[in-house]
Amino acid sequence: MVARNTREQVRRVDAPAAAPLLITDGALVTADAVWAWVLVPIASTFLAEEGDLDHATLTTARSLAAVLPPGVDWHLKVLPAPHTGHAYRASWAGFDSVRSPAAEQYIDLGAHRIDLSAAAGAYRRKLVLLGIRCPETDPEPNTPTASGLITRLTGGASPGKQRRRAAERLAAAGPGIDRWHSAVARSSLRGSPAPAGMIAWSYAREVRRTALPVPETSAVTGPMLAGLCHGDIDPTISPLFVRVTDLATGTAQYVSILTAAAGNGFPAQDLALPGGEWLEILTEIPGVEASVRGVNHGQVGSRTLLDRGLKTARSQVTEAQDTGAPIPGDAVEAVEVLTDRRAEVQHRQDVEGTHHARWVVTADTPQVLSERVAALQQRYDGIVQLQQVSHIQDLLWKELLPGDQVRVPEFGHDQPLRTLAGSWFHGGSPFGDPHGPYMGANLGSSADPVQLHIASRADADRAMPTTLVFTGRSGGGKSTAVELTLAGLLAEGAWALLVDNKGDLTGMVEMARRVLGVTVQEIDVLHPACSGTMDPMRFAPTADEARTLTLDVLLGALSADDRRRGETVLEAAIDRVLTRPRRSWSSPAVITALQDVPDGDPDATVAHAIASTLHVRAKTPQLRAVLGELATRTEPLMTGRGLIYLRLDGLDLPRHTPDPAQWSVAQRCSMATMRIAFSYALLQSRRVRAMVKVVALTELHLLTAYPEGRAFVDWLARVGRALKTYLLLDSQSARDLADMVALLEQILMAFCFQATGTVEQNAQAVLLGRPDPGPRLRAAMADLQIGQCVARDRHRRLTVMEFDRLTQWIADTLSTDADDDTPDLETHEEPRSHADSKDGHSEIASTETDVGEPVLFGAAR
Amino acid sequence: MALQLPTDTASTRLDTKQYELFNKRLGNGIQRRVLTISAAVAAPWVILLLLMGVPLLSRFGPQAYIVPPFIVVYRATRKDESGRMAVMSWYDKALARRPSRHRPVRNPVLPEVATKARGPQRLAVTALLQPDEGA
Repeated sequence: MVARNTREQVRRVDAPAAAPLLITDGALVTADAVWAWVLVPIASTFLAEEGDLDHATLTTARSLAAVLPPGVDWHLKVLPAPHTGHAYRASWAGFDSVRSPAAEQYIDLGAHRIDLSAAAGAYRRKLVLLGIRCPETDPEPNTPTASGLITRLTGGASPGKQRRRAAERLAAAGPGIDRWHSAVARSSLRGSPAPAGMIAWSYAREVRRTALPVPETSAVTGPMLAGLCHGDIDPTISPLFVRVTDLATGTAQYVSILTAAAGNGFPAQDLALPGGEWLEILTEIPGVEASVRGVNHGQVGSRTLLDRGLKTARSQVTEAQDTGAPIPGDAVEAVEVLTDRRAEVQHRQDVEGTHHARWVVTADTPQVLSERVAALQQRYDGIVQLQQVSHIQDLLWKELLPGDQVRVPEFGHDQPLRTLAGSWFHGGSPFGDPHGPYMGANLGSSADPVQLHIASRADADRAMPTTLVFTGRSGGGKSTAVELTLAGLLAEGAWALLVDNKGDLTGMVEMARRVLGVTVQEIDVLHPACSGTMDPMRFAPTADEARTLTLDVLLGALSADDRRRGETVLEAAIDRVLTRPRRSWSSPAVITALQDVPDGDPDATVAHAIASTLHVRAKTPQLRAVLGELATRTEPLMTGRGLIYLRLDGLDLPRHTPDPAQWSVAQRCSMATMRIAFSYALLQSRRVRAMVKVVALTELHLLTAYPEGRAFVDWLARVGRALKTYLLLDSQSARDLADMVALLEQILMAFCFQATGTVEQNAQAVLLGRPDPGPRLRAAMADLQIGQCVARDRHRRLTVMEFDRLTQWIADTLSTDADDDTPDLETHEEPRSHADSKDGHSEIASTETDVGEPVLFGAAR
Repeated sequence: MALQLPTDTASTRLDTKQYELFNKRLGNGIQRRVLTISAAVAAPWVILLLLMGVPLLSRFGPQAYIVPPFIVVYRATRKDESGRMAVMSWYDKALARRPSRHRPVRNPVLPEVATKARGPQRLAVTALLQPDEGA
């Protein structure tokens, strides 16, 4: 035992670095091994609570035990994911949709922001590559032959012969590699074969340490790889690092590889979840990556390893007892620990592995490197004891190369596989879609740009709900988020209708025209030209819907007393009108029908009184668009691509009490009109031909404060789904939305901004799909800044994200904040229109100065 | 209760002690690694002194035989903050001086090809002027 440990401690493997001969999708062949590689997606457990984390860890540990063959070397590489504006632009080519006239400008703005943020180190998402060394049945002929002897004496086979041989070896190992890929794909790791370009890229970036693009190819052979690996590694400058120079550009980087201290680098018992995700912490520090090599001992190997340790520990106890020396505490503890572990292995709860973890720190200069190493060690203080070992940096660097081997086994650690699983395989925060408009930054543990392809037509997404909710207190940034989401949909050529209750979303009109180049129709419901345009008797597609909506609005315009006594006469009048030809249906016709009730009818008095009241109210600005006579020259609702901006800001909406009995006449009429306007907006989308349709409804809390309003919002969500119209619902009251069971089932995505009070936060948690929020989600909600939200995507994954306003001009234009007080003198000046400026694009364009913490991701700062 | 992520290295690679040597008890025990290093240092030293003819029982004999190995063993077995013995650093330092390791690695994919770094190129141009030619 002692001899084995000593041998492992002093072993240093000084062979030349492994060089790939052939790389294909999911496989790499070197002179002495064939490796199979998979790309493991990072699981989303960023805001998961303790129980969920434990479950995910144990599930992943079982998967690792199943997919890592016992006794076989494996290699886990954690690399920074490349984020470029170019890739974002290319992602738009990955799906078919009609684009707005100036969509390219919008896409360029997003691409520019991604480039700037990536350069500033804001994106920290990592890629996880997992490879195993495949057992080869016949790597080289063992039978000594004369030609073999000559080959060996002359320094090995020629490169051409090696490559031919590599192809044969890969073909021989192919079935095994395919089986392994399938096993990983079926497991909870859900890994897919790593693209050849990515394997080559991961090798080349160790040799050059510069921002290399990932080659898009399914096979990488010698010449291409030789070109990729045009680098120089110099270990002679300092014993504490190697200098890696990209010979193509002359850029030098200093790389130091840290290890967990031998023996006590990892705490024996103190690492726990949450908090012990020692590989996840990498994402917090710039310029740090990881490489872990290891071997899974399997059931038999684990028992052998543990039994050997137990034997040594017991013999130490016995020897101490026999000689009368104090019994060593570490030996007693070892007996206990190893006995427990053996029981776990025996009961197939876990297996043991030996893991060689390496932390890779990179910097432009030795000074910065030294600072980063110190920062890393400090960050890991109390978790893992990191050590910058001198004079072995060249060997540790070679270990990073895919296809290489463990060269310094001294720093290996024996751990159950759950310790490895708990460190990295969850804890990430992937969010959003691989395609679609750039919306902002993922601020979770795996920070990256967020793309949301809301109108995805992928088969898996077609059947999904169509409602997006934005909640949070006033001033939290949700209205800006609604506008930015709308902009993304408009860039995809959508028909969009924005209902603005407060009149503070006029910036969207400007943005739609100037940034996206789309047609905009502005409608003001209080304008006389809109009289009668929202009459439900006219726009409702069926008699049933016309009946329901008309009764709803007519009752809404009446006082509580009139409603009680007039309900039946109104229903009768509507029914009479509906029996006539369709073209004669209208609300004024209903009022006339009330007036026409014969005097001898028992309801005549009530009918005439109500008709008189409604006749007068139909002339008020608040109700004219619904009950008024149809204006002689009404503008039909636009049915082509573009934005319809429906202004309701002149309505006198009730803001102090949700009790309809206490509302004034003007407030009742306004509320009735708002509800009908929402219905109108939604049902009009049916007339729009096949295209992406979206209706954004703001200030929903005004409706959901009372039961009828909540029922109405439920109806909106159901109809939106039926019409395949995306609904963006903006409300300050998450509590009201969370109480609507039907709505909850229709939510595709949820964006929960700052909220005050536990009740509101609990309701937001319901919308996020976590009805029982734990401390982690609560902490995330409590820490939200303006413009940030806890968001749920279509896959029910959670993260903290911040919407990106792309440029200062867009930020100013979309701002919903009231302007600061200014001297009177300035108010008399004619404000210069953006459209009048000679160089409008220069205002819109993103600039270098837009980057910086205040505006980097600021959605509503 | 939080899920533990244990590490068993300290148990599986227990730092063992020797409690008895040649039937003599060693009190609380001596680490076997220290004993191994002591033997590895002392044996060659003793052999060297014997070959040089230094008598053990002379006036400075005991000091000559004991003190240098003791100092070397003491310094070699001192541990740094991480618990690593100094002898391992010496060992790595010695190995790092080997020619196979103490040199830059250029493009590991082309080990046989000398890839020179780009640098300024100097060209010496000589022109022979023949004014009569073509006249």
